[in-house]
Amino acid sequence: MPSLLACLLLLALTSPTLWLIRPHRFRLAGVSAALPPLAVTIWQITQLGPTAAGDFTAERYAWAPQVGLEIALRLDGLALFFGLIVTGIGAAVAFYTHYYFENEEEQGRFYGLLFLFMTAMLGLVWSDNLLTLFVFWEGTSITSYLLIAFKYQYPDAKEGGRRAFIVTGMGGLALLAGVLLLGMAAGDYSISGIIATPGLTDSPLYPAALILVLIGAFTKSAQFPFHFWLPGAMAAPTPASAYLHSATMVKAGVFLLARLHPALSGTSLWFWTLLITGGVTMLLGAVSALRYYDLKAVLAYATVSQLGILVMLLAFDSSLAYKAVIVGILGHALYKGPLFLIAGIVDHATGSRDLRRLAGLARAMPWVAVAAGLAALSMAGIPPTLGFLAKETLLDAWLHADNLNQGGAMLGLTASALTGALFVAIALMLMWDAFFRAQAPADEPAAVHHAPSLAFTAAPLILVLTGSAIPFMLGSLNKLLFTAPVSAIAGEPTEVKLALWHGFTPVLMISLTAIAAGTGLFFVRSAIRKVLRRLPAELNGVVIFNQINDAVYGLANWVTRHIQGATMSSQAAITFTAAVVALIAAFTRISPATRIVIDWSQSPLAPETIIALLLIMAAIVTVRVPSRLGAIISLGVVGVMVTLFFIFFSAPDLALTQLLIEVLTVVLLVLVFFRIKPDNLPDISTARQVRNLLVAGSVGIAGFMLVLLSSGIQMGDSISSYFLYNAIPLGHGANVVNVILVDFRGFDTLGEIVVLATAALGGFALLRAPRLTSLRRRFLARHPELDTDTDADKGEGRA
Amino acid sequence: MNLNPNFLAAPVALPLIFAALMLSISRWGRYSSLRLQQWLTGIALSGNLIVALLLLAYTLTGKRLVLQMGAWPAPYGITVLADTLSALMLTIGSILALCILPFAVATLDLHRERLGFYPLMLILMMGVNGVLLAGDLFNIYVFIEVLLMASFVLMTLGGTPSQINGGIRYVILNLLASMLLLTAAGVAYGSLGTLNLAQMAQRMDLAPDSIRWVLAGLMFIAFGSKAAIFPLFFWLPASYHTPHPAVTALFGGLLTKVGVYTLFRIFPLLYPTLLVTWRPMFFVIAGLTMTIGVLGAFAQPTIRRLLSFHIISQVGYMIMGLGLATADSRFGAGFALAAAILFMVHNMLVKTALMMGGGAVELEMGSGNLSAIGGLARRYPWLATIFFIAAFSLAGIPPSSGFGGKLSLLQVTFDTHHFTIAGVSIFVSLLTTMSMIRIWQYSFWGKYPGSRATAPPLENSRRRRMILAPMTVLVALSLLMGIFFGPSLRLASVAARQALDRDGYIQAVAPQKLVAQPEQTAAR
Repeated sequence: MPSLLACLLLLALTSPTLWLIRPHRFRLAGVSAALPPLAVTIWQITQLGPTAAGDFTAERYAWAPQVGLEIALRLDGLALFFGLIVTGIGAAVAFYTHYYFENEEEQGRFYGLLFLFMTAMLGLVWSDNLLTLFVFWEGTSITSYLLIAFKYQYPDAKEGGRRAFIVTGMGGLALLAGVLLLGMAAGDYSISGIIATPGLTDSPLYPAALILVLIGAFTKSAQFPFHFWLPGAMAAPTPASAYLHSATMVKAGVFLLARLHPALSGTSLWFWTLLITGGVTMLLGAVSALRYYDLKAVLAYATVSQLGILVMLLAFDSSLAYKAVIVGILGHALYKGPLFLIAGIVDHATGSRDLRRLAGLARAMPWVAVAAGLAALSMAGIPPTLGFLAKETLLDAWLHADNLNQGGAMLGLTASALTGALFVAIALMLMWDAFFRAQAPADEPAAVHHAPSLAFTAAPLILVLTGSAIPFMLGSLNKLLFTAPVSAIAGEPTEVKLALWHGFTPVLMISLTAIAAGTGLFFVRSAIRKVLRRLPAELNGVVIFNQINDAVYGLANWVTRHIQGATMSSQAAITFTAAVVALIAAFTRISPATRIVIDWSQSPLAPETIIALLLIMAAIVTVRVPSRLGAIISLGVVGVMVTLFFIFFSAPDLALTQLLIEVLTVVLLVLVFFRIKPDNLPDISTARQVRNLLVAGSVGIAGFMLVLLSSGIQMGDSISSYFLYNAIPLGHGANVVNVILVDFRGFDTLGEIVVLATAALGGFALLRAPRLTSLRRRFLARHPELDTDTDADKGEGRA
Repeated sequence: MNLNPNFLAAPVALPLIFAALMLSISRWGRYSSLRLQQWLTGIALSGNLIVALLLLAYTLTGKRLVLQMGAWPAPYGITVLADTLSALMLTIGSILALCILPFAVATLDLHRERLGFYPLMLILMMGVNGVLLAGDLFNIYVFIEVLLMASFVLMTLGGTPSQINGGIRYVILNLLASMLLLTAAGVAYGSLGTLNLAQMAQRMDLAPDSIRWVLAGLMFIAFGSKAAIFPLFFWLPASYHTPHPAVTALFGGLLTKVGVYTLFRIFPLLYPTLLVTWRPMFFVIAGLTMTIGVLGAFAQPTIRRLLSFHIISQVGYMIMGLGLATADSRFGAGFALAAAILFMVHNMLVKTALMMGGGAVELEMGSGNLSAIGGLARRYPWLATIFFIAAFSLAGIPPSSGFGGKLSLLQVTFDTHHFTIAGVSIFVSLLTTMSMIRIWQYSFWGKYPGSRATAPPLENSRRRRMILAPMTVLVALSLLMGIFFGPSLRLASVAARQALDRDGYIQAVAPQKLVAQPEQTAAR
């Protein structure tokens, strides 16, 4: 039975359903929306046992087998672990959303996008094919874009969405390139296949593929220097921030690194890139979080920091680090997600998220305060929370880092402990400032004008309680939940024995020190903030992003101005030049066998020479004469000279036709230009004259060479003899040219007739065109209803 | 399945007959003849589509349908030929025209309709169909003239100063290219002694390099101009934003792709060796076309100008595919050409939908200037949805057709180790996304500034349906192409293999005539 596909389809179909039924009118919409993800969660829970035993559900659906594109899904330990987070938190968020939007009509659209995202995210973590993964990856990027800019009336939302989409879109394209390279190196896009391919790191394509994949992962997971899009994404409605930009989507990069860890890790390129990027992101995020007053901004930077920790941990090749990653992801999802949801509740209740205006919320919203308190404890890493467990394993991983020398390990340990201390300070700040202190420092403190219902509070509360319960169930969860994903990252079966209490180990000492230090930092937070706020803006990625953005536009304007702004004669000159280049290239290919031989013995006859000279003179006059009429007449002379050539080469019918055309052209042009006063042609600058001379000269020479080149060569017999033989017997006409025109190649003639008829139609249309003469304008002023120009035209005309 | 070869005359004859009929009744009454013309156009285009589908079904089995016009044997008469590539293009062309018809009916002003928009549209289709089916170099030239003249008249229809300005650039630069094509035809006739493509292919193998290079060079410039490659695209952005949006929509999806089609037809047939020798040049031109095109789009202030530059940029991808047409990859011979064909079809559908959407926005707001519009997502959610899908299909976001096209082109480029051009195309893809974000955010998000149009077409529910329904059809086709990417790719592979199969082409045109000296047998 296609269970995995059925789950994805269930979520995908929930999207249009909720979009269209206008859920803001239904009281039970929240519960109904939570049901599909809940069902998928429950199904996944039933799969925990088989997956832990190594019996993975897997499904493949062909899409385009020619290019290796398929929808391949495989529920191994890592996929199941992430899948549970996606649908579990998804159910809570779906429930919460209904209360967040209350009676707003936008609720339906939000649900629609949220479930599209959920489908893509679940598909991403379940993928067993890099191309499948990429498809879902892009799906999460685009739904994230639409969710960030959900309130698109506001410039902040639009701009935040655009930044996020461009950064993650760039990462997506890098990932695509990396995936294609990996596919080439491994000969397969299947993830389990790639993991099973030995020696992938020795492939010459490995460094490029790795860097491209890393760009993809780092942009998605908001790693330095791409982290700046995440705080900008906070313009999204809070359920989206909680779900996408804290619990799930931003972990996609981490997921990808964990996914490919068995195949790609183990090189110094992998180790150092991840270690340094993750480490810098970790510190930068934690420090920056203290700079802001906006609850969501603080949480966003803390998320950046947490993502840095995860990336940093994945640099290592030790089961301790993998454990730390898994516990960290779970812990973070179960405390940061609720904290965001709580921020949304606070915003809802007070109309503000500004820490300067908030105070004493615990009294008005006790249940919210309980949920927030439990989440903050986990964030601060206070025992016996999941956060504590995560921090323990993190520090433990550093203590046992055998890739590094003593100094490096100590540096990493210190940085991690410092980050832990900063987390303590942030958690304290959030709790104390918002919930417990008596007085807000701002002049207009925000009051609770609209206490949240219990249903609204339920989602974060449930998530936090789940998180709090997990440390006490480690006995069974170790085997059921943690072993399989850790083994998937390690690429080999790895036993996991997590425990809350290890005795008084060095790690516990560091942990306690960090808590103490964090408390200290909490008390000097204003001073820290003051220092941070004085840092130059250039350090902010947004500024650099905007500079690059402006540079692209500047370049575009420059290029366009120089290319499209050129005059038509310049553009025509380019076409001519291209032709000359093509001819020159062809001349370089002349071989001895096809060398051009000119037979000088047949010297040109005197009349032809005279005609040629006259022709050249007339051509010179045409371009030099200052008046239009003069130019037209001398152009006529050129035409007549060409006609004379036809006569000399015994083509009287051609000559006759040509003569007629020349005469008509001159007459028509004279009639047209006669009305244009003054008769003088505009001056052309010397530079342009020189250019024109060069182009015209080279076209002339090239044309001459072309004639020489092609005249000496005759491949096979020409078809013309057939026409000569068969004009009378088969075509029943003595004039071969006529028979060709009306019979042998009558189809061409039909086309030419249509061309002429169309030209006549065009002439007719132009004559009937509403000319903008003063007469017409006066007429239209009196009869505006007869104005047939559309408004668009007028706008264009002015432009 | 068997098909009478005379069917091949229909795609040219049908529009021509209907156009002539419509011109002869165009002076009837004030409105009645217009209504009749609209229906007649619909009938002609539907007939066209049916014929095209029949041809497609026939050629998909790997066969070619050949008609010797006037029963004059090849190479003396004119050969008309349909293979999968031409039948596919015919089909898509008919679909596009059929979709634009209701859009035109809903948005055109009476003045333009009475000046002959509908017959001209059919003449344009006749020219397009003629080029697609031609098996003769001069015949290609003739039908390019037909479509050039028809498009010029359509472009200047209405006669506003900006239209005349743009139209003049359009026609002069295109006539220059046609002149080069005529020169090539002359050289071919002089040196190869024939204009029949099959016979040209046969004799080209024996021709000296210099002749091959000169012919290929001239044809590349001539057809490349039509396809709007760098640096020959100037006519396009100078003119495409000037005519009525219905005309731009018709041109945007169709005309440049006819140029690309001729390149796809001519190069594998006549110059397979040059596809290898000239590959670096193809890549340089493809890269510059994509890059300059997309950068040009960034600098544009109005929707249609922006979309016009994107046409150029996307042609670059097709040229990239052409450059690899004969390359061997693990995906099989001819895969790159198949990918390029797929990309072209995708582009035709999506570009037309976008041009219609952009045109509708422009007509609705009374301006196409990005700074003067906004907030349409709330007012017209369906238009917004359709436009969004089309825009991000153009940017290559899965599961749209754009993703499939981009993916397969990239795969073959990577697989043949052409990393530079692959990198350029990925970079351009990012810029395309940025540019689509720009157009989307400006037109559909933000605040609604109020319309300046006297009769906004979307406010009338009947006209709105006539605008949105065809757009929906095109976008749905694009999505279907993406979802059924495997079968689409198979179809494109049949087309590519046929286009690359020179011997098959030569045999289909004239199995016995071309073997020995045809003159002796003919001069009975």
